[in-house]
Amino acid sequence: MGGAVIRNSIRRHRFNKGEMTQEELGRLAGCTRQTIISLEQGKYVPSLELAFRIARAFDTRIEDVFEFDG
Amino acid sequence: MAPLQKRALISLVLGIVWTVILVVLFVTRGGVEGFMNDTPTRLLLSLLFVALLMSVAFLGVPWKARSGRGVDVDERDLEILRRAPRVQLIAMMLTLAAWVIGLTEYYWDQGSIPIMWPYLMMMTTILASTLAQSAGVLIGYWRS
Repeated sequence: MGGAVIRNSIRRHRFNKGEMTQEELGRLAGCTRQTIISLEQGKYVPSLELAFRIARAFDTRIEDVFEFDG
Repeated sequence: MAPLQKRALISLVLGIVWTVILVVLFVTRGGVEGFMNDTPTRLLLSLLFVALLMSVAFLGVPWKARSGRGVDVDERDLEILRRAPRVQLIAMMLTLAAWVIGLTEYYWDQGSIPIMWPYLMMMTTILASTLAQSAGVLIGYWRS
């Protein structure tokens, strides 16, 4: 189990969505801007629920945003 | 800075300022002797101690957040809140260990400690726990 990393491409998806702000993504996904910052920096791994909500905010599938690197 | 982080920082600063005021008053009013023998001093310090706990409790980490409610907290905040008691536990254990070792060594020959010490032990342990909760929240934000 140790050493597994969950990477995300939130930053890229925000860019593709017309430079969606972290604040806006946080509002759509139901979390704070600070959590989005922490996610983009790879410091925080979201729950499955939040990961789904973020993917939904980008109108895409969860595996397009999050990648398991185990 | 997340809303909860801001509250924890305010709470910690407030707690430290109050603690300094309490310590200064304790020392200038005769230390342990004054606390033991002078009832107004004991009452004043006890009242200030309770006021400190109340102010930190109401201005610090919001009660709604503690129960997982409130608009200003999300799952990351709640996870940080859940981990904060670890810091509290360490702070309380260290405080108690310092008191017990210090008092035992100092009063070894007498075989007992003056009755007022356990009271001060309780106050400082609660104080350490209160401050450590805010510190634990801030450490959590710093690490994640």
